Amino acid sequence: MRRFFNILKRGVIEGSNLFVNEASLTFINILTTLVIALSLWGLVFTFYFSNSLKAYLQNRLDFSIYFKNNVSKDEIEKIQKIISSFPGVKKVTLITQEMAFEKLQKESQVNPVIERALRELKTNPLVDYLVVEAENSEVYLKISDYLLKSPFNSKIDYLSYFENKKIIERAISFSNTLKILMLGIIVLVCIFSVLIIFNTIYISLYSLKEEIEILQLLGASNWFIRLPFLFYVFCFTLVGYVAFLGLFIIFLEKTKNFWSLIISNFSPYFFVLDNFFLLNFSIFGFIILLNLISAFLVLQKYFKI
Amino acid sequence: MIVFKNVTKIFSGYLKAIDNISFEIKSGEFVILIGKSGAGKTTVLKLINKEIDPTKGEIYYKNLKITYLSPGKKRELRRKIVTIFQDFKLLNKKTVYENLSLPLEISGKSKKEIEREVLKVAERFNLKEKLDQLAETLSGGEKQKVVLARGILYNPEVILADEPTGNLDPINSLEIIDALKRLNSEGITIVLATHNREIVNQLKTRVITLENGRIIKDENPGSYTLV
Repeated sequence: MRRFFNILKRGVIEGSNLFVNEASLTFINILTTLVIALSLWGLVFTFYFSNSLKAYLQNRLDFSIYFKNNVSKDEIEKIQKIISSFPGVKKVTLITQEMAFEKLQKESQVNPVIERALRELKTNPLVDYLVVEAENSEVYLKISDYLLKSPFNSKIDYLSYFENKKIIERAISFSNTLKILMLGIIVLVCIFSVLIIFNTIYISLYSLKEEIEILQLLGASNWFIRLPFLFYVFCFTLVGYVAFLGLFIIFLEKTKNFWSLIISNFSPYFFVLDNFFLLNFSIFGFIILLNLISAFLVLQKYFKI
Repeated sequence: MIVFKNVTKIFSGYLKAIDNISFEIKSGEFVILIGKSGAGKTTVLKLINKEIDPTKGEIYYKNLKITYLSPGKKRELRRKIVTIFQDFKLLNKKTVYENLSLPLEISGKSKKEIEREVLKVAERFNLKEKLDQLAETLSGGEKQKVVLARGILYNPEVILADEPTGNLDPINSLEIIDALKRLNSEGITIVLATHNREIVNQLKTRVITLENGRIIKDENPGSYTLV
């Protein structure tokens, strides 16, 4: 056991020396680690952005049922009751002709053209309608199917769902394409990074070829030779990742309020904060594994250790 | 102690470096392998310390067949059979102390144990003043002394010396040969490969002469007192 700790200690010391003595290669390795970290965090954010966008759009998918002018309030309330009883329906709100007009007037105060047009109108051009809020878009589809086949069909002027659906579906498909595209880019970046890491580790080891040969001649075990390199890999990965994390946190802090302007529920800062340990543990673990595998392959392929 | 039975080594499928040789080296012997460049001296040493495997034949070390060994067994063997080279094989960017520490670090010794043993061996080889010097700043003779000192830190049973005086002036050569004689008198088996006739004449010990990979003479004048 003592022998093991002495060898481990030696590995740590020699690995640290390598980190300092091979400064230029260490710098390249740190940069590569930074790029891999950036790619992986990019992947995480693409998925997070895509999911936020989807949720945001689904929430925006309002489903309104507009009635013809001759439909009575009683009939509308009857339909409101039936729709409220649908599974997955959260709320059904009746917006009367008057309420709709009042709302439009309020909104048009900032637009003088609409305001003037509304003043010139003698009658209220708007109709009564029901605003349905459901848990997901599938519920809207079920309600519209029901309404179109029911006797109420003749009383309905139009359903807003079908107008919005196409736009939203296109946006969701765009976010899915974005996900795939980002995944592809990140896979490529990872492959390039592995190649760079592989080659810089190879160069680092090549400069120590003689030392490795001497150690082999002196009867050093493979682990005795490997340990300093593996510790070196651990060191530059840790430094690279910590450097990335520092820059990343500054970036998140500075852009904290910006992202919610694009999509209200997209907040990378809080997303990272909520999942800080899990995400960092997984990403750092993945990078260190990637780098250690590269080092292992180099040692095995070129030095047979 | 070391037995070669009809050993042949062919490199790259056609280059016969050793051709069907057999010999035995007894424990405590001082044996000189002599021959021109390319005669096969270094190949014999590499076969003994398992840097290479033979193409044909069998090799024994202390009655154990070592013709083919696993990497782990090779490592174990290299702590009993140490090699010193003409080109020293020192870590030039490290100090003498660090170079001498290596075998002890490989053995997993603690810092204190390393310090104690390195100081002991440095004193023995008059290297105490040089401990903080980088290996690359030493003279050829000093480097070879460091290599010898590093070798004996394993308490080896055999020392293989491959042209250890090849890069040294006569005075330093003499010092190294004297050091080897001293180690032999302590019971360590020495196998020295050289093409230097003067050393052979001076040592007056068993000489195996190689030519084109074959043993052409194996004589023991007996003038040198063997242990």
